Amino acid sequence: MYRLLALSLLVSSAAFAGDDARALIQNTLVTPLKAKEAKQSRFSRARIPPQARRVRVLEEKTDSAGEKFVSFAIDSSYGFGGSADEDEWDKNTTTGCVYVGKQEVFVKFGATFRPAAVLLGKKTEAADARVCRPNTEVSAR
Amino acid sequence: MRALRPLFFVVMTLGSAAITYSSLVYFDAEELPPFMLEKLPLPHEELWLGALKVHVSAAAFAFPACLLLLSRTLLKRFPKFHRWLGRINGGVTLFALVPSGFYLSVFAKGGALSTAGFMFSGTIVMFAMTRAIAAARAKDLVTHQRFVLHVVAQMAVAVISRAMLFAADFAGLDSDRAYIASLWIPVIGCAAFVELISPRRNHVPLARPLVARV
Repeated sequence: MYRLLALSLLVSSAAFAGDDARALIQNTLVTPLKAKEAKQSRFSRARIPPQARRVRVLEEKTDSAGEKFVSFAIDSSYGFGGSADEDEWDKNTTTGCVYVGKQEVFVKFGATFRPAAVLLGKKTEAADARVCRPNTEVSAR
Repeated sequence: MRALRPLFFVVMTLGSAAITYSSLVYFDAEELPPFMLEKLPLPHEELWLGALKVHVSAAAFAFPACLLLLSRTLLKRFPKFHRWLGRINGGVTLFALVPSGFYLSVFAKGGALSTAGFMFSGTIVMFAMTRAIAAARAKDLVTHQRFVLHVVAQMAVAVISRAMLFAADFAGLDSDRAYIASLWIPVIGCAAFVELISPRRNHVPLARPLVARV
C-alpha cells in the first residue's frame, strides 16, 4: 500500500515538473516568439516562421551542480498545409532544457546552450558548460 | 519583350525596397536578426554581422542604382550623371557587395551547394562588372550593355529567389532543398536569359547603341 502511494506520488510529481516546464517554455519562449514573428518580414532569406509549434517535454535530469533540469523539444509546422497530420510537423526544430526552479529556459545551438531569450532577438552568451548537461555527460568529458 | 520592361522595373524596384526595409533589423544594435539566429553558432559572430551590414548597405545602393542606370532618359539627358553613378556603382559593387557576399556565402544555409551558388553568382557579378567598366572605357557600348545586364540580372536574383522561397514555404516544400533551388534556378536562368536577349556586335549596328532590352 505504502509502495503504491510512494509510486503515485513520484509519478504525479514528475507530471507536475513536466507541466511546469511546459508552461514555462510556453510563456517565456513560444508565445513571445509568435508575437515577435508576427512582425517579421516575409521577404527575407530567413526561413518564414512556422504556422504552429508544439512543445514536447522529454526527461528530467541533474547537472554537475546537482540542479535538476527538464529537457524539451519543439516541433514546428511550416507552410499552409495545416498541422493536423503528423507528417506536417518538423521534429526537433528547437531543443533545449528548462530549470523549472530557477525559471530559466535554454536552447541548443550546435554544441552550446544559450538562454532562450536569444530566439527573441536578445544578444546572449553561451551558457556555462554544465548547463543542460547531465552529470554523467559532463564527467565523461 | 519591350512591354515587359516597365513591369520588370516596377517589380524590381519594389522588391529592392522590400529587401532594404526587411534588412533594417540588421542595424539594430540591441537585436539579433532571425536570419543570423539560423546561422548560430558562428565562429566570428561580430565579423559575420559586420559583413552582412556591408552587404545589405551595398546592395541597397547598388541594385536601385543599376535600375536607374538602365534608364534611357537618364542616359540621354544626363550622360555625365550616368557615367559618375556608374563609376560609384562599380566601386561599391566590386569593393563592398561582392567581397562581403563571398564571405557570407561560406556560412550559407544549405551547405556547400548554397555556398557554390552564391559564389557563382558573385563571380558573374564581379566578372561582368569588370568587363562592363572596361567596355565603357573603350566606348564599346554593345559589350558594356551586355555585361551590365548580367550584373543587373544577378542582382535581380535576390528578388526572384525570395519570391520563390515564399512560394516554396506556401507549398510546404522542404526548406533546405527549396533554398538551394531558389538560388540556383534564378542564378542560371538570369544568366541564360541575358545571353539570350543581349545584342551581339555582329547583329546590332553600332549606330544603335544601348538598346534598352531587359
